[in-house]
Amino acid sequence: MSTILIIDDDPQFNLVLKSAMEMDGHEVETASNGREAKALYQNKKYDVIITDIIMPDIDGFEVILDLRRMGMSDRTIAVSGGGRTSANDYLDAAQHFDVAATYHKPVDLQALRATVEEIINKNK
Amino acid sequence: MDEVLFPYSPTTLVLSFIGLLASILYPFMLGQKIKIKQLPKPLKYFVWIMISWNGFAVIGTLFFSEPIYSVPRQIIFGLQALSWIQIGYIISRINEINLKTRRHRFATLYNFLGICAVIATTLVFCITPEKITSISILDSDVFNDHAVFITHSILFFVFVFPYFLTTIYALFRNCMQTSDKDLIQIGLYMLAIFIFFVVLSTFFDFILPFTAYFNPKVSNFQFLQWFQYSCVFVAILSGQYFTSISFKNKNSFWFLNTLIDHIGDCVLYFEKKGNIISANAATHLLFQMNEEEIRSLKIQDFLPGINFSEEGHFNNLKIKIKDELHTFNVSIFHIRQTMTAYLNALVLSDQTHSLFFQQRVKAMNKQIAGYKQEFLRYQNRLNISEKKIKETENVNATLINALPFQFWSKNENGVYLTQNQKDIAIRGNLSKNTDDPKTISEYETNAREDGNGNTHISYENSNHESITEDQANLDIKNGKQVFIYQNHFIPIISAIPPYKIIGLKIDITEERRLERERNLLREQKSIHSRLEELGTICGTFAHDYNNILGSQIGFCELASEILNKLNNETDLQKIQNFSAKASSFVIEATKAAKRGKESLNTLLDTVRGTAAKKMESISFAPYLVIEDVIKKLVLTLPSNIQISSEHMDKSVRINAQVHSLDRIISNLASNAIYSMKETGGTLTFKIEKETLLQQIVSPYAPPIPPDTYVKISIADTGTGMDSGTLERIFSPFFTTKSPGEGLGLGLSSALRLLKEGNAYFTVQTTVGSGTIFNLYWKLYKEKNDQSEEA
Repeated sequence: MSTILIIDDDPQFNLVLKSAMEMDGHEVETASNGREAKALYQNKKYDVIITDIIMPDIDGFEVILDLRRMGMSDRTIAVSGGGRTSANDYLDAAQHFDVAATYHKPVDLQALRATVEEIINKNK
Repeated sequence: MDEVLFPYSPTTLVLSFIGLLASILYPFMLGQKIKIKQLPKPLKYFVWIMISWNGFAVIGTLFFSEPIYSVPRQIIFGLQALSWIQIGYIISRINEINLKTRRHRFATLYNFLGICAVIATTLVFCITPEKITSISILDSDVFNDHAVFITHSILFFVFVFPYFLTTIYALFRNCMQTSDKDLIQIGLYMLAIFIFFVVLSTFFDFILPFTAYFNPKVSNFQFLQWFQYSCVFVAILSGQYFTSISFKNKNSFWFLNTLIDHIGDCVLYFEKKGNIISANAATHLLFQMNEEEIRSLKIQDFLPGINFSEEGHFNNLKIKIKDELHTFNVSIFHIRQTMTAYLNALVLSDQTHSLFFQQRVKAMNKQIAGYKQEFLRYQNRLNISEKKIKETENVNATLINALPFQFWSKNENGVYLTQNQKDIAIRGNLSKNTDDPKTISEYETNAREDGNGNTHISYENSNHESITEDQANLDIKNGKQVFIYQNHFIPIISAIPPYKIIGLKIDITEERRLERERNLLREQKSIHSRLEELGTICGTFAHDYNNILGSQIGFCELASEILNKLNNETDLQKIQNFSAKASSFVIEATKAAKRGKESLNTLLDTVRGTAAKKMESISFAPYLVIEDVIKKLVLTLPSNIQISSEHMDKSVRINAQVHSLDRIISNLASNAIYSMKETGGTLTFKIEKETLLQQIVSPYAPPIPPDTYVKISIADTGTGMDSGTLERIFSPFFTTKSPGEGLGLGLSSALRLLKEGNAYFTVQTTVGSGTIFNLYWKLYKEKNDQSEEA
């Protein structure tokens, strides 16, 4: 059984992803911002980490960079709904930081689940 | 008795005749020479004697040449004797004149005796000649043969010869005493000639007859023939001598006396004892006395204490004359005239006037020197002033011409005095001209008559014709050329109006154009920023909405997935679990949809600006509202934050919506508190009246026009804002707050409320030290308060 960390400031979005991942039989933990997430992933190794980019306090980029330092870029997925600029800008930047995949909001849930399975299989 | 008295001899006759002629002509020759009409008396006398002597000699020779006694012959001879008996006296007289010696009365008397003796002798010879011929001396009949000759010889030697001797002596003495070289020479010549004639004549007339020709009967001897001719020469020589001496005297004495009479100094001649002999004209003038009065004076009388018997010189002697004190330089001279005679002279040169004038001249010279110096100084100063004035004029002219606008000045009567090049280029040279009274603006008249400097804007069309502002605005809108000028009329205030005025016409067309352009740009920028704002609003909204949609879609997908699984499931327990889960997903999706609706409503409220319904404005004192806000804030205020509200002017009032102000203040205050929540600090409220003279332009807020405002300041000592944040603080949805702390609509709605209330704001912020919001509300003026406010 794999463990997945979901980081988003929107509790509903967290809930959707969590429900979906649990239905696929994974163990899911959530964090509402970068600070909370940091406390989690520094103490525990997650198989997949899904993070939003625009968040108050510590944003998604810091999380991504932190994970890259920890050698976990290949199991990180960035999600963004865009903000003041298009979501592409954020996601391009995220891709530049070697994340495994990027998704626009609203997220194609099936594709995301497939990517999660792929990452889990790759790292087995 | 038959002596030859007038021998018959042609030589004698001719010689006597020549002597007669010479005697007659001589006075004329002499008169011609010395230019005088009358000869001196003795000389005239001498001439007459010579004429008679020679005349009787001629008569005797012509008529009585026989050696026979006759009474007429004796009378003629006697008359002739009367002539020669006086010859010595006359010669001595002439000598006296020439030598200026004193005349002796004895000489005249002696001469008279001589004449008497001759007359007596002649009478005796005429009446009783025997008495004389019979006289015998020492038994010798000397008178027998030569009675006339001897008798008259005795008379000659007794009465004439002594004069000759005295004359010779006088001449000799004169030569010895005179210091004048010329006079000595002339005197010596005269002496020599005289002695020569006397000796020669005596020899031929007496010695020779007595020795060689002692027989006068036979010889053609004439008595005193040589003396007769010699005397002619002597007479002539005497005349010459006289003229020479008189010329000489006239030259020196005349010149000296004339000079002395003309000089300004006093010259007095005086005797040894001090009696004044004569004085010159200057003396008469000084003493105001005539010659007689002066002669009655003595030197001692006015020069007491001066030893005038010795020569000397005294400087600055004070002498009182007629109650007037004079200062004299006194000189005393003793001039030797002859061996024994002195002429004493006193020279007084009056120093009073000369001193006075000298002083005057000195003083004048000093004054002149002073004036000259003064003059030079003034000239110098004048030159410097001129130079300065020229420099100033030059600077002024250069400045006036360099001014980037039209400049002119008019005198009190409205005549153009100066124009700069720009003005001349546009309006032409108007120097010394006046404007048509109709075209003179009220502004100019105002400045000239009342001394009120003023400024106004004028508009001109492309032909430089004056147009109204409305017309100008219309033309600008239509793209026509319009010139805009700022006109200054500046009076040069002096004693009384009218005044000179300076006019400035500044072309502000370009400035206005740039201002318009700037405004346009600002507007565009504002539009652009509003669009950007809108973009941000939409972006934020989209971000939120994407989340919401994502949740909705996700939950719906999960729900349908579970429902699909439900169809294949037969286990009741599992079916119940699945359906519960699906229904919870549907509930979540509905929640998200509701959230979307709320978010959309807020967005629409912001965009439509209908978040606050319009309410009526009322006038109130803003401090009341702030105090309310403070009360609310205190309830939730963190302990590290203080509120200061000491500087609030409670007298000022504004006209606004109370709830708007409440919301604005609450918003700004809660933002301020938020910025200080970690560091702590002070929140300060201030209310004061402020009059703006210039519009305030700040980069993040609309410009504030000049007016009187109530300024409400909300200052914090928090984190401050960077320029990027500052630009967006009033955008709706913009927030730095974490979820749940704020929606990001506070400041933007505050701004909107400000706009609605016709209020303005400025914001000053420094990262790390705090932010100050200044709100400007128009000061509310009550009608009865207007005078106070003004």
